[in-house]
Amino acid sequence: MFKRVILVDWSFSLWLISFVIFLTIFTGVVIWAARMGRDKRDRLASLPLDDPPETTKSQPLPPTP
Amino acid sequence: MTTSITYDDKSVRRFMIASIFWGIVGMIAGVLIASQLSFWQMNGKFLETLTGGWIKAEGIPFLTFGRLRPVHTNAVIFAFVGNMMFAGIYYSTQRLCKVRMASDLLSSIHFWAWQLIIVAAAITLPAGLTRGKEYAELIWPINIVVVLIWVVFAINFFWTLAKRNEPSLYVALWFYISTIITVAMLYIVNHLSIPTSWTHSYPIFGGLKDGLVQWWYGHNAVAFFLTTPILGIMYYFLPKAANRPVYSYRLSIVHFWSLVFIYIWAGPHHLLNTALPHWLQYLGMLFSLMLWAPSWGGMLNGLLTLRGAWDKLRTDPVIKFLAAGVTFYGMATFEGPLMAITKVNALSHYTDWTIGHVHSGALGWNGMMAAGMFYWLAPRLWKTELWSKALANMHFWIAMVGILIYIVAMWVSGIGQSLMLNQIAPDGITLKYQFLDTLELVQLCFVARMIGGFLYMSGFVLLAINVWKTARSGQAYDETVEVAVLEKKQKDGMGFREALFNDPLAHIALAMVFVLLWFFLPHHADKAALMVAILLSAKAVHSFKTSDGAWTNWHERLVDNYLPFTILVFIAVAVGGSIQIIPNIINTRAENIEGRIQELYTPLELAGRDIYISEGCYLCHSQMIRTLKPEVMRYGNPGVVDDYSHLGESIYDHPFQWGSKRTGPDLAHEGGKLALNAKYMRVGKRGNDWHLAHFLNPRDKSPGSMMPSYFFLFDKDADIKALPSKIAVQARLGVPWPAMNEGEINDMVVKQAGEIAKSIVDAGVYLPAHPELKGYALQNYLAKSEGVALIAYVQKLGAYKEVKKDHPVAPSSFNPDSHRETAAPQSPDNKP
Repeated sequence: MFKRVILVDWSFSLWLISFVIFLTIFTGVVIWAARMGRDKRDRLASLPLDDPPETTKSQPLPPTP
Repeated sequence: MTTSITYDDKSVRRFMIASIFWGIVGMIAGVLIASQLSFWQMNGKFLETLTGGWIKAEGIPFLTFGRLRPVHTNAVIFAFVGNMMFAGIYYSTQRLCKVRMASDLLSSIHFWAWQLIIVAAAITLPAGLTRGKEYAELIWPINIVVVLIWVVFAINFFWTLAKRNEPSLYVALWFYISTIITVAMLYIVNHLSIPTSWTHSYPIFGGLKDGLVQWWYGHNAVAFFLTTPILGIMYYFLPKAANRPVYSYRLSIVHFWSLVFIYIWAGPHHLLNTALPHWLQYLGMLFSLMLWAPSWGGMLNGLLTLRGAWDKLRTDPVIKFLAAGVTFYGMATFEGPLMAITKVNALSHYTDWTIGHVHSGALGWNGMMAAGMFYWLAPRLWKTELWSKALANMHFWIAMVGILIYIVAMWVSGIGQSLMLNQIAPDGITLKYQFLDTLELVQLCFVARMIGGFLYMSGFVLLAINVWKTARSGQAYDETVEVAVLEKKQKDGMGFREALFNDPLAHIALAMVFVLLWFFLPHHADKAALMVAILLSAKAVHSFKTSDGAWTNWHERLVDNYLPFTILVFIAVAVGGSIQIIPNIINTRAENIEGRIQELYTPLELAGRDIYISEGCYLCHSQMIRTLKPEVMRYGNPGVVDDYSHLGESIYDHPFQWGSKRTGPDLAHEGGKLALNAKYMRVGKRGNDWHLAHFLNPRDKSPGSMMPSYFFLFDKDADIKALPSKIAVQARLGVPWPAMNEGEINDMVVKQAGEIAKSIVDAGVYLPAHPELKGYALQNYLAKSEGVALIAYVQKLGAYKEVKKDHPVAPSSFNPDSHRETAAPQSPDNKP
């Protein structure tokens, strides 16, 4: 099948190439995500909520004139 | 060891206020141009009524639709969403990195210079100074400043990452990295131009190549300016607002990489059914359809983050706006791939359906996310409570109703008009409706759109009031926190070598190469390649199992190292553009064209073309007859076989003018042949006198038309002095202009303008503004005008020569077909 595509128009193979590149990367990323350790995942997911303690230095700025 | 960090929240406040201000400006411009499509008087004549007759004009040049539409789009994209994005990035990056922005000076330069760019755009665009490419209209000196300021932003951002006190990079930061890298790449490539003066330039690409680069940029401006940074904001602010972590961090990883990798390929779906090579059309459609998955993965990840917090939806306006924004993201990203299906696109493209789709993204996704973020930020940036939750809730419902009215109106208008335009009369050989017939249908929808837009804008005014009152009730406040200092060895320990040259990547790359060789190698060798690919995959699995965690460590460490990560992102986005654009740059050349090839413009026609671009005519008129039967019947020349727009017909057009919306009819084949006894003058489907009368008052010739009156084109002389430098630049770009000196150029202009002006005067036309001008006086007056130059250009549209090749194109690099005998079958009458 692929030979026929190439003979019809070489440039058609470019979208096959594109698809293969994507599929490879997608598979790699899915494996990557699946293999990521639970601890790491949970820690990363909670980063936005991980607020350091506010210090007493926090003061409203003086009003601008 | 710990240290106190005071975040730079001043920059966040600045960007937020700027976003709200420019957002309202952009929305006012949007409502104004929407009204112009319902009431042509809104192009300036309304000032007669407003000033009690003090201003008398059929229209004001800088208030016409063609000049204001780029003001609206640029204001909304770069000023409203741009400033909103910077506010979100500055706020969340500091907190995710547990460090203040690296440089206050760079933050200030970034803020003020960005506002300066917006002001410069607001001045130059209404003045008609434009590059003629959608969302890339700004003139070259401003573009250079944009690039410099983007670099300032990038330095500040990456410097902050380098100074961070948190070892890992949260997924929101990945989205910001992809935004910074990809926008820089897209912006630079699509703005490559050669100046002809301080305010004018020609893009280095022309015709198809320019179209491909433009929509690679245009589509990915949506992807990487309006989507990825807002997704980063979603991944930070939604968990904050819901007070629970993102639903699935795994899904966010898959979401990021698939989205970034797929989005960059989808640009050609803006050019379906056109002269774009079919392989690119298929590629655009395929990758657009694939976008469904990551987009919906991201939407679900966002919405499911609200699990257990849905009760807040009733009371918390922040959650309301964010949930609605994410839902609109899902709806818009469902609709987009749908419209990228070739057959659906045949119906939707060039119609208001596209406008509705864009606004469901801009108003629904960007606007709602912006509002949610601002309502969340305002109390924290001024250390107080939100002034009025009730007002925020009211804003939500006004905005929601406004969006729905807007989108539904555009669906009805777009689909309805397209169905009417495609309808063939019962005789089977004529079309049932004229273009003007469809305006009755769309007019009601246009009024509804205006109302929807006005409601949405009103809601945003309520937000401005609410934020203003909130700020007044508190005091500007920069948060200070105590953080543990991260030692240098605890972050960014992975070098480029370790990141890019390692076992996992080597196995993936080699397996990919051998799968590709399987496609290309001759018989038997291809089977060998496939075997190697399978063996490599097996070895990869074996190595993975025996790596004792080394492979797992590699990718886990990668997300802790921003520079290698950034390079991988760049590779992911650069691959797509390269595979699409480079083959076209190499192969789409005049010497490779067989069939129709564009006839060169004369100097006067080039001057007219630049006026066409300057007035923004391309925003309502396309120059692309698609390969669809009703379109060829409507816009093609009667009796000419296959009279759609061929690739070669616009090959010398810098910039291309295929357009993206038809508020008026297509003009690709509007022109015609040389007139009898004329040296340069052409007459197309309509006479010169018709065009003059139409420019003076479009409704005289096209009842019901909403086109502005362009009477002012006959009050101003065409810029002939600029032609030598323009022609010289075009020649450098490969347009085969014959050698001409200034005198010869001028002689040609005078001769052609004289022929056109004489034909108009002979037809008995006069200028209402100058009734005293008659005969030779009128002819001389007209011949110098911009209007006659524009008529010369319109009458040239679609002119081409036929090129026949006696033998196949010589073999060339990167074109396997040119090396194959089978690629160019010889027809009996095509023998060498």
